[in-house]
Amino acid sequence: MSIEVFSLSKRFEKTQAVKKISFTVKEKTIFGFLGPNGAGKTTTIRMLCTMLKPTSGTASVAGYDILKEPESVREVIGLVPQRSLMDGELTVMQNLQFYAKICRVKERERTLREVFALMGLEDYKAKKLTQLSGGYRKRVEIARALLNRPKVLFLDEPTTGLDPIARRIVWDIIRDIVRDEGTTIFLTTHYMEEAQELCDVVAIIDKGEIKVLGSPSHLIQSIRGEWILKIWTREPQLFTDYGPLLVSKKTETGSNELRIRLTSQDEVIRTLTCLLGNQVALENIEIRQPTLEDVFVQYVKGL
Amino acid sequence: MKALKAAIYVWQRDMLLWFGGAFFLVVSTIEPMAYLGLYALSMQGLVPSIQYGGKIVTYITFVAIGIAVTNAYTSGIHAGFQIFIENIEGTSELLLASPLKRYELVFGRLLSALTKTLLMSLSALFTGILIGAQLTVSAGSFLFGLFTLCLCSLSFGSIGVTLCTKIKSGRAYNIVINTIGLPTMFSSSAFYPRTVLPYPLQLLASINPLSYTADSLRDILIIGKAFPDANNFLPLAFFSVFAVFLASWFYSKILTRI
Repeated sequence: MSIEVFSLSKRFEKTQAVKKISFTVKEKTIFGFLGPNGAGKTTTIRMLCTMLKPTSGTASVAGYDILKEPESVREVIGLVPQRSLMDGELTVMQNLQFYAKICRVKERERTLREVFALMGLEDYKAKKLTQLSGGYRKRVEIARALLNRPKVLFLDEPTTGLDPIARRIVWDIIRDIVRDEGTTIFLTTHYMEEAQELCDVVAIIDKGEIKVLGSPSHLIQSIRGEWILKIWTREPQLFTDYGPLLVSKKTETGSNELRIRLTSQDEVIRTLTCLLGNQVALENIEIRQPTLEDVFVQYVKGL
Repeated sequence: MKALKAAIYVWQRDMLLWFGGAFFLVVSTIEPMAYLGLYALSMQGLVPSIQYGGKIVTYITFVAIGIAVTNAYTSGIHAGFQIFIENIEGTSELLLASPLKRYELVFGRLLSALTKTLLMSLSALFTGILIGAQLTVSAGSFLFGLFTLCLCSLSFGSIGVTLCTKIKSGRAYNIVINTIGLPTMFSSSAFYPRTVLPYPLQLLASINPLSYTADSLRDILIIGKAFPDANNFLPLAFFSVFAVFLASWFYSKILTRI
């Protein structure tokens, strides 16, 4: 196993950020750690990266105990934090050279050439970080994290703030890293589509507790057989009428979005017929089978 | 050797940031010049001469060393502030997750503070000579003078790092160092000989490392001794070792958290 976590907890004064979580991550896989804001994702990463001492429990990363061998852990991991944390006033090359030195990278020049090529950064070496777009800054962060050829790469919301094109480029890079380097990826994200696209296994964490863990297809399967009917209407009384079936509701400007969970295609048809028969003013309809997002909503909101 | 190498990497990065921004470099050089020029020339009318170690010297001569020493103090104590800036910018998170050992990071920071100290203090001494300070400078005394300034910077840099591990925010740190800054300088022999101070202040000055730095430097650059008096130099040296140890210990304890 690449990561083994056993009953790990972290308490900050009055807040229990992480509550006795346990899980394992296999080598050369992408593990997705999903959860809403404040769920305990970053705290878990910080503990696994030995930047924060757990209140109780233990874990090992690439075979090293985070409590007993923190320095060995730091030698075999890479961390890509949520926001770009390198020196904006230094060039890409200066930043990466510095991190290559402090990570004691052997054959520094060759390694730098390789990561520049892997991340498509050859033409940006001399640019200051502040001159780069968000997507390229993220590439530089990933390049930095790869300098020491980590066995485990922690990616904390790596695509937050990126446009869809840049996001897909980062996905491709992550896949390449696993395929070519054999690196294990520990990824946190808010984007369910991203987790579904990339991850071999996902864990959903909320309020410091792991709610469910499994492969995306397995988790979706667990609520399959159900259909999601999304309707947009200007008639808010539907919230009451379909209360028991309601998965979530979201009110947007001048429009109400309802998500209704139904158990069969027949039920979908019956519901739509009923709505149309009652002259309900529908603005838009979407009928689909569940996705990881629905799994997430079910486990986090309990709906 | 590995630790020194790693500390030098940290120092190199700080220097790239520092020298890369001409603004910081210019301000750091001009500040001691303006400080000494304005203060010494204004005070010269009030205190034309002063006695130090049995020698009568101009106040400019006396205070040029004091200002050089206070620059070593301020650039040293600000080493802690640099750590807060990195915490705010997040760089420290990357450094903490790297294989860099905590004490290597501390030594790197202190080396950077030393470099700034040397630049600022030399700028003050050079300005002093330009406006009439009569300093006795030989190659040996110059080097030992630099060494003394380095010890002072190391001491207060370490105090800065230690304070940063105990204070939770950069704003609070700023308030603390501003609050202790002037009292530390004025309760030392940086601006006047210890003997002219009232007795309680003499006691304070006698436990203030800034006094020992200023007097060690004056032994060399005013009296012309090859080495400062052991009474002045040894307390400074001991304080430096103690402060560096303290900073390394607290820094590794707080930021490692493991």
